[in-house]
Amino acid sequence: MLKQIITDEQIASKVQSGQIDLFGLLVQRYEEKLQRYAKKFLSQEEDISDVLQNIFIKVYKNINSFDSKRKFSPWIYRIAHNELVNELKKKKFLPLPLFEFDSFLPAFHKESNERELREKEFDFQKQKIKIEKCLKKLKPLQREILILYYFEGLDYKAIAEVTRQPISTVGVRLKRAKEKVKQLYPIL
Amino acid sequence: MKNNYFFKEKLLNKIKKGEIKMKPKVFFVLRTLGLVACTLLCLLLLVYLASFIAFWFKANGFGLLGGFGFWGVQRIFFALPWLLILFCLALLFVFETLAKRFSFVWRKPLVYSLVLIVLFALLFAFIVSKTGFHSRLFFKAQQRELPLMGSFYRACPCESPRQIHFGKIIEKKETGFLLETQANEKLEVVLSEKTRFQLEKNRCDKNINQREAGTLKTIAEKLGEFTLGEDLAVFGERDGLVIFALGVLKLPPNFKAPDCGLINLKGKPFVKPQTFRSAPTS
Repeated sequence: MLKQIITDEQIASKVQSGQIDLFGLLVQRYEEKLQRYAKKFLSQEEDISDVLQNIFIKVYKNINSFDSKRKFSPWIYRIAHNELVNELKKKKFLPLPLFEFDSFLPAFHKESNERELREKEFDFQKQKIKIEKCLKKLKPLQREILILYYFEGLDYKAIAEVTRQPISTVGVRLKRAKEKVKQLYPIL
Repeated sequence: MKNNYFFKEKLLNKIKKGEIKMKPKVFFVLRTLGLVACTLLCLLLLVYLASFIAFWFKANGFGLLGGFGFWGVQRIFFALPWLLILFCLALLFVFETLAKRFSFVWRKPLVYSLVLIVLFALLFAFIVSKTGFHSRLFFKAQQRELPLMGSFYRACPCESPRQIHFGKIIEKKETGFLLETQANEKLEVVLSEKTRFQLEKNRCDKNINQREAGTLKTIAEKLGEFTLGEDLAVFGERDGLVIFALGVLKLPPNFKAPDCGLINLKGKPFVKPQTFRSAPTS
């Protein structure tokens, strides 16, 4: 019961102070989520398993760099993002971006109430399986934004921390990714 | 579920065996300090080089070339220290890459931090140009009193025969005039059809380039517009004590010619600008 109410941040703090057994709780909570996240980019089970292991090894090794006053979820997803990017680069699926124009100039994106947005886009959620097929046709950067927002349930601020981009850029990229999905799957 | 349990246990076993170790907090503190130090060093180097380029530009008098219109701008363009400018741009790229590791930088569009750093470098360059910082270092470099940076300053084009010469007109001749420089040298300025004149502010006179007037006659007309003792800036390659003028600029009264370290700190000129290593006469 106690383990259910203890937050990720509190667990991380206890692991930092030496209670390494509690690290298993973090693995338990995030293994499935990160596996689902990795599956959207990698197809081979072996690769997914390797990446997942590397992610948790890095999380443990770098746990002392985590500030328990901040949210744990964007921090672990950031590590996962970096591992996936490295893996995709190794497999040459992701060209090395010399310059990201989206985060260079200010992007003008009106942030409306996110809850309202999620409720309005309920239909979009109902077509999850079909959207998953569309995701493979999207570029990795566009795919990631959609996954983090709709499948992992992260908010704009958290996505900005994971991808190290301004919040306005996250909004613009998400909008473009949704438009692309609608183009690929006009039934929605 | 079984697989999940197995994965978790495998990982915890590795941790307990010491195969996976937590990095100590001090590692991250030192890493952050190192990052801050490298970023600041990059920034300082960038603003130093920007101020040096501004000094070089001012000391060579290239700012005056703007008054000659497109021809002047062309001259400035080809005379700029492009290698240094490219190095500055590379340094800017390195700085941005390092600075992006900080949240207050990546949370805003990249253009904000770029504009901020460029403005900061320009402001710093302007402030430094008002002091004698680079002139003093250049002077010390000539005296071989500047270790490490000495060769950098000695490589400054100020040392080699400059393309711009400041002085007073002391005698008129058939093909030009005699110019007495700050270093008390008497240089013969040879005018030709290629010479451009800026005798009035923002007005570049190219009449001398009209061949039908006859070169010598036009030179004589032009010389009539100068008075002895007038301060001039002459642009052109120097060959010994002769300058083949490409441009002649009338200077306002009390114009302070850039000295680029040729005038020592006590305001006394060197006897011969070519021999920078000789001690100045009192």
